[in-house]
Amino acid sequence: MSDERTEVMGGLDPMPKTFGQKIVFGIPAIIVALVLAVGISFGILYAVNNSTKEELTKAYKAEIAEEARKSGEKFKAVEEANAKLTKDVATLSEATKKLDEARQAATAQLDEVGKGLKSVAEGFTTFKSGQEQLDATQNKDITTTKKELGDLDKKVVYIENKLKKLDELAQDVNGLKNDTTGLKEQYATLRSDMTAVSKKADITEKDLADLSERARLFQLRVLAARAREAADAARQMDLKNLLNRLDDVEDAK
Amino acid sequence: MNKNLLTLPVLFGVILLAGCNTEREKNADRAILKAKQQVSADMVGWVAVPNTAPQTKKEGNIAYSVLATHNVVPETLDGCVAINPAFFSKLSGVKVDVPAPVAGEKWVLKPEGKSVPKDKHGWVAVPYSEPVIEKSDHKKDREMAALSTNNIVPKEMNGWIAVDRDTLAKMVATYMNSGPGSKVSKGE
Repeated sequence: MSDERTEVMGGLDPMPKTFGQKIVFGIPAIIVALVLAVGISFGILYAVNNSTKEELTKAYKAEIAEEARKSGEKFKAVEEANAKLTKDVATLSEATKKLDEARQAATAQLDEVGKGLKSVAEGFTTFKSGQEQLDATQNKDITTTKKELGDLDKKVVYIENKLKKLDELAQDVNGLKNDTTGLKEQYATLRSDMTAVSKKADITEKDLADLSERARLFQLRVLAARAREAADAARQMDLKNLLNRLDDVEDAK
Repeated sequence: MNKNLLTLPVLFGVILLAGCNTEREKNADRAILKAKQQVSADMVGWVAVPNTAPQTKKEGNIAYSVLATHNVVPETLDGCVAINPAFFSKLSGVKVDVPAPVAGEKWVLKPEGKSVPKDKHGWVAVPYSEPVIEKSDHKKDREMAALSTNNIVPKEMNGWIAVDRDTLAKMVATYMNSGPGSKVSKGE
């Protein structure tokens, strides 16, 4: 390389090349490379653009078609609704017509009902009058029945009270230490008779008077037995028994 | 001679001391105390009260005695029955006045040899016993007690009425047959 320079400059040492000199020889290649790069880039961008454009167009068309389809369906539905509405209007008109006819018929019937009501009102007045008479009769019967039932209740209660008193006396009899077999038999018979009478549907005054007298006699017998035993206890100084017998006696009010 | 002279006072003293002991009445378990007497061995634990007796009364055909606190029941009331005043009035219809309560106390004879105080002179001493009160199970105002000789009437029985058994039997029979206790009503 140094030999070549010697030859070109005629024997002088050639000057070293500057960086600019060195790069000058590469400029065309760089330009060419740049042009090529720009060209290729453009080509690629063009291709990409075309592809994108096609896809967008395709999608747009599909969307348009979908919209059209939907619009068609909606339109169809609206048409159907419209047809139905038209049909309904026709039905409504027909119903209105019928209603008008019915109203006229009802008016006619109302007149007839008015006439009927007048007749019913007259009948009701007659019925009310009759019912009042019936009520009065029934009330009278009820009062009579109530009175009879009240009397019967009183009689039953009377007998129940007697039975209660009789049971109390029977308890006194059980407490006696002397022989009370006779009293116990009388008690059983009297109680049985009283129970039978209380179950009768028609208790007479005579029944009650008989029972009352028998109960009174029984009570007297019990009192006598009780008093006798108390006196015996006093004589025997059996004070506990004496006090028990006296306890049987209710305090005089 | 000198020996006999000494024996006489000793004998006199013995006789004097023997006469100072409390003594029971003949054939009875009771003694009337005298001041300065000494409690004898067989009466230790006895009780002395003022010598008072129940008052005897009669109303219609009912004879009765009114007991007072610390009365000693006499032999005449032995076997009688004491009844509280309210219950007696209810049974007999007789109204009785209850005596005022006595404030005195009983004096117990002990120990042996103790001198009877002056204020107990004339009191009567008996073995201690009181009547047993029977009460009704249901009506607490109904009380009775059997009396025995020498029972001492306790404070709770002040004013109680003592009647003999026959009187009580008649009274009770009348009360339960035809008196308020009969309760037979024709009007029922």
